[in-house]
This record gives sequence, structure tokens and C-alpha cells, in this order.
Amino acid sequence: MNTDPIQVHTRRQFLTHGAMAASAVALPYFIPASALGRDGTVAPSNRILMGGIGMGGRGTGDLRAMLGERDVQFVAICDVQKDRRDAAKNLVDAKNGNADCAVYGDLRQLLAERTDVEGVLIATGDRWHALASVLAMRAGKDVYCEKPACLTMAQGQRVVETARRYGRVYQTGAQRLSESPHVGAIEMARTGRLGPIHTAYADCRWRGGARHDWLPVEPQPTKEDLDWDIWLGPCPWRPYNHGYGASGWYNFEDFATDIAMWGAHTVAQALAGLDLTNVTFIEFAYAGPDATLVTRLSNGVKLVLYRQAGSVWDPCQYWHGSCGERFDGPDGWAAAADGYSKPDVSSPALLKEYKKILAEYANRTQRPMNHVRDFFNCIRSRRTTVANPEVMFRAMSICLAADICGKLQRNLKFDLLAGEFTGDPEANRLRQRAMRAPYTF
Amino acid sequence: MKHLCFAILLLVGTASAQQDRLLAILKSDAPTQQKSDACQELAHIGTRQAVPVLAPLLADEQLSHMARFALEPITDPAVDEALREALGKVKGPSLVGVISSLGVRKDPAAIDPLARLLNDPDPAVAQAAARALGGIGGAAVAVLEGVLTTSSGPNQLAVGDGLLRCAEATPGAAAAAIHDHLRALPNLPLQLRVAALRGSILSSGTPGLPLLVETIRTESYVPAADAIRISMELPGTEVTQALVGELAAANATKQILLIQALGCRGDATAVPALVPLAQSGSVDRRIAALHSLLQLAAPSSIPVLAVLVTDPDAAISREALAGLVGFPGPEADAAVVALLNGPAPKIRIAGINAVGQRRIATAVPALLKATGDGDAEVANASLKVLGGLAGAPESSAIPIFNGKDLTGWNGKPGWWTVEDGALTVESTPVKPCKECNYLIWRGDQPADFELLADFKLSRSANSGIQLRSEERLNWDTYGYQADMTGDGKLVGFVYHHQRGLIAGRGEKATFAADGKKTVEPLGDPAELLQHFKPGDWNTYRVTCRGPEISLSVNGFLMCQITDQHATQAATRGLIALQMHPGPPMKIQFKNIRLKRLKPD
Repeated sequence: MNTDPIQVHTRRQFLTHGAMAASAVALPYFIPASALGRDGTVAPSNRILMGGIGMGGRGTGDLRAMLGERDVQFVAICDVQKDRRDAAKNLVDAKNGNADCAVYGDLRQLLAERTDVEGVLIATGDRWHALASVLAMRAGKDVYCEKPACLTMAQGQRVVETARRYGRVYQTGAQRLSESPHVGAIEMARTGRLGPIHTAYADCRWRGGARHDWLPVEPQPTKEDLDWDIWLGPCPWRPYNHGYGASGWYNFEDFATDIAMWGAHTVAQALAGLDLTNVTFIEFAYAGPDATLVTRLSNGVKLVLYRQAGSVWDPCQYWHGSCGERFDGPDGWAAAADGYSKPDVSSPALLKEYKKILAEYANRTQRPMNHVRDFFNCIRSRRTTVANPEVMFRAMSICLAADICGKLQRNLKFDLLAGEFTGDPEANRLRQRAMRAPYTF
Repeated sequence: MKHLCFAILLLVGTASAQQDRLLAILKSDAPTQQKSDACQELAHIGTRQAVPVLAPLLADEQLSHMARFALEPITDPAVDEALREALGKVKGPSLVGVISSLGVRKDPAAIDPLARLLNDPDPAVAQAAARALGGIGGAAVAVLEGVLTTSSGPNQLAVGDGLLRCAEATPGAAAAAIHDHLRALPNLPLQLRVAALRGSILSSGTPGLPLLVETIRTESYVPAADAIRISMELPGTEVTQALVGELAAANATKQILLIQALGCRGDATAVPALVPLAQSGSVDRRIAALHSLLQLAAPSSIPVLAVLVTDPDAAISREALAGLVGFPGPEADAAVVALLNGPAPKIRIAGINAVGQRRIATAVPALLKATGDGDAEVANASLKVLGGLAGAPESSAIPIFNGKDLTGWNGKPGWWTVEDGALTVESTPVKPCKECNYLIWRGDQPADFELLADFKLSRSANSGIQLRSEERLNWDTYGYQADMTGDGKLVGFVYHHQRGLIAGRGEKATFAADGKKTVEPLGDPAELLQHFKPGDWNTYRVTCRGPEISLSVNGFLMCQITDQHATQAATRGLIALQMHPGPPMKIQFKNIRLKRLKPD
């Protein structure tokens, strides 16, 4: 059993190891039938029926990846923006060879009406991630949701609770947990090949979520073209401006996070390589508005949230490319970042072990090196995903605590068991943001 | 201490002034944006004093949310009071918001007023009330249970969700009662039934086991699958064995779910039941069982896997082999090495490759034997893996030349052969050598290593061993060379293609980053030459570790360099043997062994 104490409840955690591998075995192993409408009485099809919610650039990329899985069929698409939902529908229809994919502007309508849909891809803007996930899981859907999974700790906790309550499969889109070079580096650290890790690094160079200003008022599009109220969702109201669309919202605190936005890409990997048994708290040492944030876990391990001026794509002293993580131990180091074909390591001898390390990982976890495939395997086997709610929440808690440290510009100590800052009521207040009705939990 | 008190007073004073400023904005006719921003700041610092200013805004359609934004984090009970009062005053989405905030704040005094909203004609209000009551818990349970059967559709889902949340905050037996009550209702929506089943089983612990088993046995796929999923949250051998007990009677799809759950549980007591399922039956079921055995990683599965590697079904064989490669522990090493004795060349090759992937250094004798395999592919695979294994850290020295042919090496056609068990190259008056060519070892490009090689040179011969070098066109190379000539003049010298003779016999040379060379004496060059036997076999020992390269001949240290040159120093590269132009000559190498060193 997993004895990792970092969790929301003291309740038993899902087992973290599980069943179906990346094997070349013919799919499907067996039938999925978690759909409510099927109710276990109708012979289920061999395909997992999916809905897509939020079909911008990233959503379309995810959609394409999922359409490549042959046991998956999309039947419904939802986006507040008409041109986006139409474009996604066209992609789906082309794959299905018909014109049947339904389109929705309101995800609540999709969730209420489409009892045939078993799983949803959620790739809305960050502001909607947690609420959409909770609403979908309450409706009995399994969820693949893009990162960051939440804007606040309170939101993240609701995601964890809901997934448990309804026994849903949930995968956060931290896809690097299913990519060989990252898994290789993580496993080198986790299996002790580098010695006891004393420092882990996570790339947090992207900046966002700092602006508070309102862009100039523009005429609001029709609800059919872009439903502005739904677009805003749980966030504070502000008047429409087209500049929030595409990725403009990244820059605004109401719609995004700062360190947490990029940390959501990397911190889960850094944590995956560490032994977190008995880790109870994490300390943040504030070092300046743009400075690298050195944190210390209660077991003495340093987790470095690496920041630096310039582009995330630039090489740095720890890795070359974006979204890197690195582990340092007395016997060596290992690092991976985007674009790597294998980890960077301190000695060639370590790299000689790479294939063996991946084989050991595959044996132990029976997971594929394909993040969406892991999600679909879990829909079938009902086991928990590689980037399950607990993995998500642990990483997001630390990322969001880092944001709060940045905002308050002072050192903070975060109790991972209680989910609260020690001796800092103001910091604790920032763990939540009241959600705008009717977009509440 | 006085200073500290003063500082705190100052801080409190500043915060208080800041709050006054923000409240003044809210009371003024400032634009919405400014008031919205003020509420965001009050969310950080607002106190009881802010409540009377914020409370009226709850009814302001435009600012109601922002008022809650500021109020929700203020711990003072005045906030709860203000929110409860607002319940009777605000309408529509603002009311839904206020209800939601009372749930977030878990205000027990709100139970009664919220209960009255459970039958509100606006479903959004009724549902928000149910969910808020779920957050508050305690006495809310009875209230929610009271409307469970009278509500329907989305309202009933909200009431159920509220009850489930209450149960999660309630200790064992009471929680089980809530779940059991929920589960007993007919026509409950499926997601609530599943959640209640999970709650019943988990909140009652081991006594929940009969319910789990009973549900697995149901004909319908969905509840059975859900029960099997729930079992993955329940630890204990009793549970494992209960799942094992269901295997035989389960249909094909359920069997696979059970098998996978047994793998996920991590309880090795399932192994004896899984082994026969991996051995026979449908391929899908066998592979599922095989994968679960791999997850459980019990040593007793190793012989099973070893047999399955030879299974006629290609998928089974492949998965079993992959499983052996990734199987933890030394027991699996033995099973992998044993594959080298398999009857089918395909299996022997698979075993050899598995030895390479697992980096089994003790398999070297078996691999050496396999280089003599009657099947050429087996022999080649073995040599290739032997070369790779030479890179194992601190392994024993491993032969990289098989004494028979050029397997693993590659050079200019028509020059290099094997003669009397030695790599041999020769130029004659009719076949002169016009330009250098090198025989390149294709096994690896090691960084820190020790290379041992026996060499024999004719009197006029000139040759050398390339280290940490780069390959150039036409079997040429570039980099460090352990130099040698038949007359002994250049034996014990390090030559470099760019920098020439960079260390002489008896020299300890150091290159700084800027290329500056300093030399210390290491011994007398003429005396050291006495250890070289012209016309006979001699042994070179080359050691590369970090920036240091040292050469020994027949056990005597000849020279040493420490190379920190900014652009010319190489940390790794290929190994190659030289054929030099000049008068007719003959060059031979044998017993070439490589040992990887750990860097300092």
C-alpha cells in the first residue's frame, strides 16, 4: 500500500500501481461500460465514448492525440466559442466518417444530456479546469483535464474529493509523467541510483497571472459566437475584450496563476523522483519577485523552483529546453526536459542502465509511455491513473503555496498534512477564491 | 522587544488604514472596476470592520460576487451572520452565491434557513442549498435525508452529493449508516448508487467484504466493475483472497478486471492463482495474468516467465521476455543467462540481448561461450553485447576482440585480418600503405576506462592505439594515441593529431585551459625503454580517468598527461588501432580487454 502521507484525507489512498501495460496486445481487452445510460444492461460497445470540452490550441492537440487511439470515439464537443467548436467538430466528423458529432456551447448541457459519454477531455482555460472536472465527475464521467488542474488549493481539494466519492478515473494532463526521458530521470532518482536525493529542480520560468488591470470595453459578441458569461465562469466579472481570448488570459491573476502555471508542467515530475514518506511540511524562502524559489521539505530535501529572466525555451545550467526537472544525489545527477531522447546524466554508466530502468518501470507499473493511453487503459481497468488526483493535488498545493509566498513576499511554512500554512492567517486566506454564481461547486 | 511591539503596532496600523481606504472606495460612487479591486484586496486583509460595508453589496447584482470574494476568507462570525441575513434578501444568481458561501464557511447556524430552501422552485437555489448543507454536515444529514426521496433529477443528485459529503466528514459507523440508507433507495441514479456502494464497503471495513463479493457476483457489468475498483482501495490479504475466490466463476471480462485488480493490490498471495491463468487460456487473459505477475514481482514467478519466453504465442513470448528484463533482483539474472542455453537460436539471441539490457556482468563467460555459437547471428549478438557490457561500472576487464574474426571491429577493406588469434595488418613492397587507416572498435565510446592490449611490431613498424578519439572520413581518426614503433622510440608517448607528441616517455605533462604545457619528470626515458621487448609481444595498459591519461608498458608507467585544454581535451570517444604508411611493416594486437572505471 502507498504510505505517502501527503494527501488530502487520512482516508486510504488508491493503490498507485496497476494493471494494463503499453503492450502491443490487441485492444480492447474487454469492454468499458461505465456510462450511466448503459446502466450495465445494454451490451456495451468496444469503444470509449468521449466528449471534448474547451477546444483551443491545446485542446485541439489533445483531441488529435485521443482521436489517434483506435478504441476511442468522440461524439460531442463543447466550446463557448462557435468557431472553435465547429473546427473541433469537423476534426471529429472527419475521423468518424459522418457528421454526427454534437456541439454544445455550455458544458453543463453536455454533461446533463449526454449520458452516453463515458469520459471527457477538459482543455478550457485554467479558470474552468477544477469546476468542469467536478461537474463532469458528478455526472459520472471520467476526466482527462489539462494542467494546471485548479486555480486554488480549495478547488484542487474538491477535485480530489469528487474523484474519490464517485470512483471516477481522473488524469491531470502532466503528460511528461508518461514520457520516457522524464520517467528515466525520475526512476534513476527514485530507485536510489543517484544516492539519496538532496536537491530536485523544476522549471518554473514562464511568468503569468500577474496583471490586475481591465482591458478596454469592447462590444460583447453574441452568445452564439462567444458566451462571455460562461467564458468568465467562476472568475470575477469584467467587461469583454477580445484580448483575453487565445492566450491573453494567461497574464491576468483573475484567470490564471503565476509560478503554479508553469510549475504545473514540472513539479509533479520533480516530486515523483523523491521519497516523500514522512514528509510533513515544506518551507518557502522568499528571494525576490523573479528569483528562483528554494524550498525545503521536512526531510531536508531541497526542491528548487527554478526561475530566470528570458525564455523558458533557453538552455540553462540544469537542462536545455523547456519544462525540465533534475535530481541531484551524492552518486550523480539526472535531468530531462522537452526535446530529450534520453535523460542527461552525470556518468555514461548511468545511461547504460536506461533501458533496464524503463523495463523495471514498465514491470512495476504496467503503464504505457503515452499519457492519453494511460487514461483510456484506466477507464477500462478502473485502476487509478499515473497522474491521479493525489499526484495532481500534491504538486498543485506546492505550486500554489509558492504563488502565495510570491504574493506575500515573505517566508512561509506549509503543512502538507493539514493543507494549511503554519502561523500565517493571511496566507491561509489566499488558499481560496470565492466562485461567481452560478459557477460554484 | 520594544522595537518588535512597535513594529507590530505599525503593521496593524498600516493594515487598518489600508482597510479604511478600501472601505471608503466601496462606500463611494467609484466605478465597478475599482470596487472589484478593493474587494480583492479585502480578501487578503479584511476584518470584522469590513462586514457591514460588504454585506449590502451582496444584493448588488454587479458586485455580489466580489462582496463574497472579500467576505469568504474573513474568519469572523459576523460574516456568517451577514450571509444568513442576505438569504432572505437576495435573489437569483446572487442568492445561489450566498448559499454557496455558507457551505464553504460550514456555518451550522445556516442549516435551518438552508433547509427551507431545499424545496425552492428555482432548481439552482434548491441544488445550491443541498450542496451547501453537504459542506456543513452534522445536523444537515437529517435534513438532507428528509428530502432525498421527494426530490428528483438534478435536485436529487445534489441532495445525494450533499449526503455523501456529510458521510465523508463523519466517523465510521455513522458514515456507513448514511451510505446504507442511500443505497437502500430504489431507482437511485447510477452515480449515487456507485458512490454509496463505495461508502458502505469502505466505511464498514472488513465487514464490508461480503457486500463487495456479492456485488462482484452481480450479472450486470457496471456494478461488478465498480466493486472491483473499490477493492483496490481496500487493503488486506482477506480481500485479495476474496477476489481470488471469484476468479473461477467470473465471466471472461470480469476475470480480466479481477486479474488486473490483483496485480494492482501488490499482495503476492495472489501469485499461485495467477500462475495457471498466465499459462493457459485465452491470450488476453494470459497476458493480463502475466502483467499482474510482473507487478507482484514474486521470485516464484521467474521460472514461470522463463518457460513463457519459449511460448509458441508470439505476444506471450514477447511480454514474458520484456518482463524478465525488467524483473527486480538477482534471481532473474540467472533465468536470463539460462536462456543462452536454449535450443532455439531466437531464444538464445533474446537471452543475450536481455543480458545486455540487464547489464549482467557475471554473464561474461556465458557470452564468451556464445561467441562460438554455430549460429552466426547468435555469435554476433553476443559480441555486440560483450562490447556494451565492457561499459559496466567497475566491471572486470572484458575482451573486446574474439580472437577469431573482425566481429565488433571495422576497418579499411583489404587490410585487417585475424592471424594466429591476433588482429593483423601488414604492408609489403607490392602492397604499400600510402595513407593511415584505422581499425575502429564499434562497441562503445568510453570515457573513463582501462584498456589492455598485447601488441607485436616488426622492426620498421609504426602504429598506435587511439583513445577518446573521433572518426574521420576514410577510416581516419582524430585524437589521442598511445604511440608505438617497432624500434621502441615512440613507445610510451602520447601523440595527438592536432598537437603532436604531447607527452614523452618519462614525462608527466599538464595542459592548462589556455594550452600552456608544463612538464615534470616521471622517470628516465632510456631506462624505461628497457622494459620494451623489440620484436616480441608487449602489453600496453592505457588508463583514462577524468582529465588524466596514463600509459604503462609491461607493467611500468611510461608517461602521464593531465589535459585541461579548453578546446582540444576530449572526455570520451572511440578506440581504434593504427596502420601507418611507410616501409613494409607488420602490426599485431591480441588480448584486447576493456574495463570501465567510475569517474572520480
